[in-house]
Amino acid sequence: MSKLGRRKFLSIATSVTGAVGGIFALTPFISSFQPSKRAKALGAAIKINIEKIEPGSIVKVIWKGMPVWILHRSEKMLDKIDSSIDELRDPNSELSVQPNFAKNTFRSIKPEYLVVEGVCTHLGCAPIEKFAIAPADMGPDWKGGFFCPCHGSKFDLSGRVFAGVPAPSNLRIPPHRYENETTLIIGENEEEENA
Amino acid sequence: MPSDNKQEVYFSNPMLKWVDERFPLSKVLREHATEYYASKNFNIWYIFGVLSTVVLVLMLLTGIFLTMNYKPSAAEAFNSVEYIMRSVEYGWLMRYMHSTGASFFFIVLYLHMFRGMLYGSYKNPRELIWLLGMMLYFCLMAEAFLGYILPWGNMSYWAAQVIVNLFGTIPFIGDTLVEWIRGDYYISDITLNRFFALHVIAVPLAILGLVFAHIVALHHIGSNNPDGIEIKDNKDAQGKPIDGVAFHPFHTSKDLVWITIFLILYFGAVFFAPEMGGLFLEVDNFEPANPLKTPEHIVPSWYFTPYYAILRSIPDSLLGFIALVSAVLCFVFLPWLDKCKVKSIRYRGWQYKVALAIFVISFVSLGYLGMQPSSGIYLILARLFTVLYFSFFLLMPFYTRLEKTKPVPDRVVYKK
Amino acid sequence: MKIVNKVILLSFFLSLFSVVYSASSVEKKSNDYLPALNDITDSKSLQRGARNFFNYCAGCHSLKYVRYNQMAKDIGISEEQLNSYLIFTGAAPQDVISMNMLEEDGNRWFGKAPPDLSMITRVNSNTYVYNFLRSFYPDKDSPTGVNNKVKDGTSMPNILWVLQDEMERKNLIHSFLIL
Repeated sequence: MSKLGRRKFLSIATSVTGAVGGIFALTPFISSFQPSKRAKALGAAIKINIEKIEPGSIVKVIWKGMPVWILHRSEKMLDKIDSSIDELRDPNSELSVQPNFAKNTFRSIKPEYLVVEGVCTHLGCAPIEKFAIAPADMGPDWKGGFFCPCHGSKFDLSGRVFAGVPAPSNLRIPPHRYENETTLIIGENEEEENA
Repeated sequence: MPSDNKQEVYFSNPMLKWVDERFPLSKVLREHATEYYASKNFNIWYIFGVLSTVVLVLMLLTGIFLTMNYKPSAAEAFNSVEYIMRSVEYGWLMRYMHSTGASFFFIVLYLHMFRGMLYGSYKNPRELIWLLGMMLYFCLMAEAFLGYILPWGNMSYWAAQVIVNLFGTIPFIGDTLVEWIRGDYYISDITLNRFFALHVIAVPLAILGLVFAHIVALHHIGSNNPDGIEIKDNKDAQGKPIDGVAFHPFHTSKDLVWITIFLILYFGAVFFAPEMGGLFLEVDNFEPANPLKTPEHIVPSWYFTPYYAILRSIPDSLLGFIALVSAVLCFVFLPWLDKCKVKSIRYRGWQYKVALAIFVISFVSLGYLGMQPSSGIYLILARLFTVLYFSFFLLMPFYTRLEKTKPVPDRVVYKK
Repeated sequence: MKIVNKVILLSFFLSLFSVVYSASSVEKKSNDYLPALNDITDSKSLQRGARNFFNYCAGCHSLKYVRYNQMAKDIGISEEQLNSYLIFTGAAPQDVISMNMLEEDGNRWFGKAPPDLSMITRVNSNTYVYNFLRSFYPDKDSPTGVNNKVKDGTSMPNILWVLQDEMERKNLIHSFLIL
């Protein structure tokens, strides 16, 4: 091999080894940015006892630093669940984020319990519950749901967003499952538990 | 300057050409890399300056990532270090790289300074390079001390206590000075927080500025070599020193090999012996700071132990403190204490060789003695070696004048 | 390089090495300490250790920097085994091991609260901890009825007395193997 060819080979070989070494060296630094074990521990699944939640009332918990609401929908609420369906932007939850089992009218495993993230899909404010029918501030057509005070987005009793409001999609449903009749676990889906 | 007559264009890449028209990029590369000529007979002693910059980069990088997770409060500091070790992904690696790096920094630095003493790199006209280097040495000692306090282990606390109290021995202003340093009536959360700020920002900035000045001063004169002759005295027809080779690509490629070898040794320590038997990470520091429980042997890190031995060998506390400071400052005066005209030890008289050997033995022995209790035979030996240490410097004007030097060659001695 | 220079250099590095070695806190045998002989690659041994810790020690001593699930991973047991056999408090697997004796109770009952043990073998070596556990002896003057040869005046009772007979038998075999 000529001297020039040798020099070229050596330069390229060194550069490639250096580049590989560089990637190896960079990996721990970049990985260290990932959530630490403490962060993962604090973001682990939580267990809620749902026995005491009255029909029509809502319980708010924190999971992964976010508000998660558990709404025990009353009979009246369940009957009227699709009453505003023509005004909804995404009634079949095609665009929104939810576990597969929640891609239905009730967006939950059990129809009477809605488990939803209380974070408006527009810019992240916490919507306010407006369960009363046709109150003064929501107008005569209001059938019950959630209203975000920041920019006026509206959601129905399954967290589905109305058309013509700033929020682009339905409220997110977190992964969840029922350990038994009275215990809700937020943070894990049925498949994960069996895995 | 050879580069005034630019026959070749430095950059073929149009983007680099654009930058070069607006920024002295090719000028810097020429003057400090491709047309900076350093002697062709550099030996292993010449790698330690380069290795210091490598370790500095490692310390800055790992230090930044540690700061992302460390909490500088007395209540949380110790816990946050364990959080980094156990909970942060690869946090243990950051921590061990940083603690091992601190010790390796001093190993490399002491060898770098020793090179200067072997080849007379501190002599005229390089005195300023040496002075800037000494300022870097002081900064590094301060940085190491400040950094050691941050884990807020028991040794951190008591080391802070002892060293800060040393300043109390200064007459008149001592007690006020100590309270001013601490920011409180005792070593507290306030002290920790300000030491954190100094360690993370103030001293690193000073170090970066001084490293820049140190290298600029060096390049202005040109590097020394193991034969101690000035290669610029012998230039060829193009004005290049005939005993020099361009820094890039010759020295850079050789340095790359040795940097790799160094990194193997360094990571060997990081992965297989990060505590190094208690020398790199002291055992007492794995329990939290406890003002009620003094460790049995308060010993500073190994790189400070020679000076610690000198301090303890003097029975009076103020005189001991003065001795410690003087011992460190002795190095500053080397360019003016050394009266021999010949730079390199290869051509100097036996007096300097013997004196340097005694100095090295004294320094290493003092280092060992600084780790032992200050009593009995240890104390006697510490006093003996303290005398020898200071004699090396104080008697230097005398014994160096007596040296019968060998004839210094015109050209560097290059063994093929 | 001349021979004499090589000899000087070699003796310098040898002496440097021996200085470094003796200066480091390499475990020095004293009285009748037995070496701990831990093998951290033996997961069965680690699992027995965990079992013993949670059955005998965890009532008083916390391991506040250790998470249950990380420990389970390190000793090679599943989360189910962790939950069934090692977690006796209501803790979740991702929690730290910390629901033990309260500090103020420990101070009141024993004079000095049982310390957290997360770092105990880094501060004191493996050998120290191992020999501490096997060095209890009866002492009439102690409030707990025992004292300890490794740490005189310890306020810790001899928790492992129930295993003492078995231990004495094993120690005899252990010391025989060392010799």
